Amino acid sequence: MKFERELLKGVAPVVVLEILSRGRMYGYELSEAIEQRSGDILTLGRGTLYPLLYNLEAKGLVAAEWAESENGRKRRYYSITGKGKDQLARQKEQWLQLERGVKLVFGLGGVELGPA
Amino acid sequence: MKAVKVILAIITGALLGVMLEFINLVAGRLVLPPYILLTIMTLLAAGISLFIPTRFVVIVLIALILFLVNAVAAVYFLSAFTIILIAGPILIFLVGCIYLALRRAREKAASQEYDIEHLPDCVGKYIESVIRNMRYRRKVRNEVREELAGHFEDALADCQDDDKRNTMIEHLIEKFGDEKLLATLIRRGKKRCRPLWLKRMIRTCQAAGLLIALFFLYTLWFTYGRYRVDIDYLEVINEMGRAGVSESENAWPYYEKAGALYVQPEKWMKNFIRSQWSTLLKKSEEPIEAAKEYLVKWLQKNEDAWQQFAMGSSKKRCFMKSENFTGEDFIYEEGVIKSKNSIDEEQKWLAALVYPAGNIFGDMLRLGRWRLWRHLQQNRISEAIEDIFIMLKAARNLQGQNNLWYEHAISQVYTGSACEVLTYIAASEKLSAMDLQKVYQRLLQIPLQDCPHWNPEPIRTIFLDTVQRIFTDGGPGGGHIIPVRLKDFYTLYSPCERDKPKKSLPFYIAQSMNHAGRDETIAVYDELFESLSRDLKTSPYQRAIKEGYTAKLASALSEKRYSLIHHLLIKNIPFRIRLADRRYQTIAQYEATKTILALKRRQREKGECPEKLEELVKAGYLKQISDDPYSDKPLRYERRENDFVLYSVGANFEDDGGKVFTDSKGKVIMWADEGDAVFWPVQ
Repeated sequence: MKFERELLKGVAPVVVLEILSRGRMYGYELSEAIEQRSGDILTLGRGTLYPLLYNLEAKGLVAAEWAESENGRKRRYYSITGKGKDQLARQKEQWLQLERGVKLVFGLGGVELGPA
Repeated sequence: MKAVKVILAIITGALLGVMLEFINLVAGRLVLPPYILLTIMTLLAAGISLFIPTRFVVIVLIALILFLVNAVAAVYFLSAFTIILIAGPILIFLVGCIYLALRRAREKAASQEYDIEHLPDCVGKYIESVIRNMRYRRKVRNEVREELAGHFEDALADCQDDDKRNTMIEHLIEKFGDEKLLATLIRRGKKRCRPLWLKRMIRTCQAAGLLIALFFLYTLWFTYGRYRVDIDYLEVINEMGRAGVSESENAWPYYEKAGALYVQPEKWMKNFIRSQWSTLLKKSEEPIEAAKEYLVKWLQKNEDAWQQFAMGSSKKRCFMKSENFTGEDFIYEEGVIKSKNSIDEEQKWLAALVYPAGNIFGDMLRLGRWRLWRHLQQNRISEAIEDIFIMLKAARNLQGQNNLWYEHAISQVYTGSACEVLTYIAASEKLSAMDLQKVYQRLLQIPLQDCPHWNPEPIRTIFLDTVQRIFTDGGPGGGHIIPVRLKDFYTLYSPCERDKPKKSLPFYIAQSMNHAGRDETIAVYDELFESLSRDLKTSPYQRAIKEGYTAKLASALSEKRYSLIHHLLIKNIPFRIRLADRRYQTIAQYEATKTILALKRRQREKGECPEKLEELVKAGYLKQISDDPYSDKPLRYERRENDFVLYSVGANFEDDGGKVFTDSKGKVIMWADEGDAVFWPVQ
């Protein structure tokens, strides 16, 4: 499903932070992980991914470093920083609140899926 | 590569420091000690270079080298061509070294780039296109290249056959999107990664660069402005002088003819005729026989010239039309104009005004003086007196309201010479009481003391003409000085400057930028001019009481901001004041001469001099007692035995009891800064 660009724009950073919170990854690895873990619902264009990563790096939410991979090639690994973790926690809370509110509007409310 | 850039930047910074020092010097200001400025500029340039492309550093460097070549050429008065010829090989070598260093650095940098040749062509082209469009630092571009290449490598690693690979490649390229857009987004992201201090520094450098660019454009606009000559001020001056003078009453045609008839003395006698008259007159000495013989013949040859001059002196006024320079090339030697400047209509500056009569009146004065000497030598007193009155009448018709300053100056010299000889005649006791009375009555017919002050308005007219030729018409402050016109002004206005080294255009640009705008300059000039005009019409004593308001006003004007006013007015204030003083001095001498004639007549008739001058007035010998221009009292008179002393207290405003000032050679200086100006006894 192709999502509105503005919708993806808001969700992409928190998704990337969430994935990176589980371990450092390089660009290709990250893009594959996003697709897999979202059940192929979310696909970030490659043209979106790298600029997003650089923006997150500029904000200090992720850190990047060159390291050798298992096959001996140099790759740029991204990992979440402490500041990124705080941001992730805040944004996750906001998303859950948002989801609750939208569900209520859509008449799907009454089911508590997360902390109030 | 970075090292090369920093080295270039250090050189650029050093040259920038030198350039700023040069500008400081020509503008006459030293902002900081040279080594500190040099150090600051070098470090600044080295720092800035880290954030701008190398090509900009090289461009600035070449521009600075060219600027300095021109500056050195100007300072050492060599043509830029000569400098380039000498420095050319060095410059070429330097530029060649820079080029080779840059090329080598580029090749070395290229060798450190991540190799993407193993990727399919379309992928390689795509990645190169993105990198090229990024337009960012080489190191960052290399990182992005490696990262993108790594992404494609990982994605294609699992594709075994070509179809799958091609499909994957198309999919990936589609996912990455437009290369230009991707490059822009990556560039933005990378720029945001820069630390805050770096972002601030870059913005500062950009602002500085913008300011420099604006300053450069401003300098261009400033240097090549347009002026407009609206008013023919020469005609204005001529109209001023012509006012009230009908051609039938104009003495000038006669004087001009006298000048044409005048026979110049031969070279070997020129100096003698210029300088020996006063000495021979006062010491009653005889010249050497050869000189005497020559003088007599020379005077005879100039009889016609003198007759023309005499006819002119009987006229009421004298008006001479002033002219600009036109004609053949100009040569100025030993204070004398040999020929005229060759300039077009636009270059007719009033500041280069020609005064046509100076030589003629100088010649007639020398002729008149030597005629007097000859008459006295041959005891022809009545002829001498006739010639004296010709000179006094000529002096009168040069002292009109609208005669120029130099005409008044000439008049004063004539009056001074005439009074000197008349006093000498009175001292020789060769005139009877009746003769003395007749001469006195004739002097009353020429009231030189009532002649008006010279009108300083033409000076202002010259200034206004210069303003309209130098300033632009509009802009901030009414307009600014056009640097190239300022250079023309200095070249034309001060002919002697032509022999002096010429300044370069940057000097005139700096001077023009420092100068006040047109409106402000005129307003300030007018204020000073009004004050000076008032001073010129007051006696030396009254001016001394006022405590030099004009001088204070003038000294408060910055020479940088008002250089034009300094050049056209302030520099000449002492001269103008001296000229005004000369008028008072001449009148005092003229009045003193009349007083002396009255005293001598009284002495002849009564056998002694009066106790006080008031007695002369009561007895009808003297019409009035003359004022002393250097005090608030009349001329000082004191009877001394069978004689008297008549004097002014002089320029020190102190009564020294009639004591004169003599120089180191014993020569009496009449109106010196010390001592009194003694009219009698003859010194």
